Amino acid sequence: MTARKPSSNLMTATETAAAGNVYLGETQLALAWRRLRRDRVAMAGLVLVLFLSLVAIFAPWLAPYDPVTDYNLRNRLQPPSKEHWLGTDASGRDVFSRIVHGARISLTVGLTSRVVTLVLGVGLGALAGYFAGTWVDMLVMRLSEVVDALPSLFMAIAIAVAIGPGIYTVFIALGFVGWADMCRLIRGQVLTIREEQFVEAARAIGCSTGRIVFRHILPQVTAPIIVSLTMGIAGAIMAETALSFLGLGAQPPTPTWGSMMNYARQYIYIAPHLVFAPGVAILITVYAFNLLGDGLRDALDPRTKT
Amino acid sequence: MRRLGQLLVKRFRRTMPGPWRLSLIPVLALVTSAFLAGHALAETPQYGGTWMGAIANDPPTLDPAYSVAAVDGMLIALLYDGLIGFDTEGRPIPNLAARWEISEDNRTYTFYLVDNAYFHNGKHFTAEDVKYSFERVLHPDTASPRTWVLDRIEGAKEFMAGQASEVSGIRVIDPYTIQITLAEPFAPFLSMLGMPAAHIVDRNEIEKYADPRTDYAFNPVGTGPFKFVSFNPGDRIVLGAHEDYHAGRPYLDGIVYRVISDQATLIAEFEAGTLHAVGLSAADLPRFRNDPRYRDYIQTQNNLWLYFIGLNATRPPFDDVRVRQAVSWAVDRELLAETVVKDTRIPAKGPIPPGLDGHREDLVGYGYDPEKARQLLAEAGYANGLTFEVHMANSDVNVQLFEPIQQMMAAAGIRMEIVLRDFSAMLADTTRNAIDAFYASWGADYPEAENYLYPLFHSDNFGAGGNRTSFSHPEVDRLIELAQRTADRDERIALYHQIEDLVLEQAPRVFLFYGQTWVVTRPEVRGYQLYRIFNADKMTGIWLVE
Repeated sequence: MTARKPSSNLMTATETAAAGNVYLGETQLALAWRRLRRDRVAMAGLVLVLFLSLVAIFAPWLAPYDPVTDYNLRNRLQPPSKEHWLGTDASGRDVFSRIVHGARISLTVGLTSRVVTLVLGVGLGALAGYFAGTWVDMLVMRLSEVVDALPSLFMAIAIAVAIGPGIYTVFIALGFVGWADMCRLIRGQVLTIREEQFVEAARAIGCSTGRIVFRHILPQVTAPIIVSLTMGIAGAIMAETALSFLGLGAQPPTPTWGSMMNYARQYIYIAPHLVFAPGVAILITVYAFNLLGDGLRDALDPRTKT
Repeated sequence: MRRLGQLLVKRFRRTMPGPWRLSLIPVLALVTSAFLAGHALAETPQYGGTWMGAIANDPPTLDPAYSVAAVDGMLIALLYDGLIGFDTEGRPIPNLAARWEISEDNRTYTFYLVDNAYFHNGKHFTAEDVKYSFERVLHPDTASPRTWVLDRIEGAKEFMAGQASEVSGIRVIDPYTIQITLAEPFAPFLSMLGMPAAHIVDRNEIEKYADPRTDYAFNPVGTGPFKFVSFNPGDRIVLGAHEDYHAGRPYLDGIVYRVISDQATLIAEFEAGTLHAVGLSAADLPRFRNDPRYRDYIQTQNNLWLYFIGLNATRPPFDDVRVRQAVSWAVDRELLAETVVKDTRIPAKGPIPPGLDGHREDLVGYGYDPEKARQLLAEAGYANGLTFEVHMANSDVNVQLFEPIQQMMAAAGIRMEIVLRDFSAMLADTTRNAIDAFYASWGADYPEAENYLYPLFHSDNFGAGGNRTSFSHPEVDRLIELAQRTADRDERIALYHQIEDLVLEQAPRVFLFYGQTWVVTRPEVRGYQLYRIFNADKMTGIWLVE
């Protein structure tokens, strides 16, 4: 180990790598945060994600008009202007206000569907991993293979058609199709970790299975969970767009980016901004989450860095 | 144009003595050929080519006895023939019946049939086929939703009740003559013979199947100008020319209808050259009208379609007439017609569209009055507002129309939720009386105001019969029946007005718009015409250059 100034809290990349898993008075998360802060691209992603979250939270105060009730048929399909920054749509509603409110739907869908995925995937994955080789493992893994074998968008469409369109449908459909990946990831991690000595120790002192899984094993796999969660949000937002585009998402007049694009298509030649505005919003959001996700993966688990 | 031509010829005959007329022929020929050079009229029609068209959804059936939707009616007109057809305006023209006579008492119709019509399987068409086809629709085992097309024939009621083995009013005189007697005179009867249900099928083809209702539905064999080749649900339906068509082989070798419901996709396909014609929505119209490539190939016609929101009169909240009236007061049809559906829809006052005898230009109907709507709702016990779901086909055009309507209703204290769904499934729900409100349209089966009153508002026609709002009103029923029996045109129209007034007061449907069709064709298309009746086009006059 190289010497370092006693006054400095900073560690260089070499030091970190050399330190390995040795506990240096800082938590793993704090270490990761430091690594992330040095990744400018990931920080840009983080700032964007925070910005979008603020936009979503404060949408009613940010939007100059109501996205649904402020309509004016005499002022429809207007190009961007001082009054309407992104123009007006086919009902004469302010596109900017609808985009701002659409951020709420997109982020909510992204988060909610990933939470469903998380609960299902982590729960079942941990179970399968801990009981590897038993019938529990067998059942969970075959089930996850079935779900995974079907193209996820088609499956989401099938679920949405079966339970009827709507925003809650989107939560359920996207949550349900995403859990298999998470499940296998967690199972793999648990399989490795459960052979570690500290797990053996826990077992030896008489810890219950539940305690071993939730207190000793799962905390070790937070890194891949966080990464998968972040990257998954981007995927879920895209999937929501696709479902809304097909008319299976939130129903009109709810402003979602996907449905805004869908219903603007017939005006693409005379009012192209109606398609571009939600398109760019989707692009920025998905890109931001992907950047952040990439950065988080590098920061949380430097060994996998490419 | 044709009338002007006839007038000119008449005048010419009167003013010119015989021999002089002949000498003018070469002169006229020269002048006209010079005038027509380069014009479409000078071209000789060519055989060949496949028409590329589109239909919005899969036809539920291709069996005339079960056809109730526009898409299957349109296809049935190509695959089969009726005794009569329709011209562009909707007037009856000869088809399998070359001519007909109507008796003095307006009850007996004698049809003289063509002797050169063949089914697609090669079988010769005769009067027996007409008798079989009509009796099949009326037969209780068939359970056709369109018995009302033919149940005015004498003896039909007894036959339908299973009390007679034949319909006494249908008499085959000889293989090419058939006589149909009605129980009572009924003016629209001749036009009704052009409806899908009255198209002629071949008994052998139907009886081939154990369950014709399902098995015959997509194995249709008729005498029509095109024969069935294949149907791939959700993808396409392919038809081929009927070489032995009685009115001459169509110019086209075949037709491919692809199933495309999305307007933006249709427009993109048309511009890519993969569709020969496309209907233009209000969103497309200004652009095509201003495009030099297309503006000369646009046709338009006032088309007799009636667009409405149906309100189920048997289920709360719409079992209360005040609530129905309130909803009728809550839509600003004029504003929508000036903006969202500009030039493609005309605000509707009542159920009878312009162009039909009985339409009143001065009818007042419902305007936009949110205050009045609120007041009516308060009286009906909905002072705190009304919430209902309106079901409709999932299309961007519908959404663009209904998002503003939602806000107009909101101003009247009505919360209207839009439910987008598959159109056939929605219709099935209305037949089962399972939904409160739906958006749909009604096109003319024959050009008579009666066709907008009897199917939609008579209590005999619940569900697929046409009265999908289960509206029942004894006085409306009585007046409709009276009008059907009234031979005198003026008296009949006076009755139509009475019925229309009652229907407006009862408000079982929110009458929104009448339709105006706009179609653009590819430059290589010749002979394409718009028809006011949805199943009038036989596609026999269309040909393609090259």
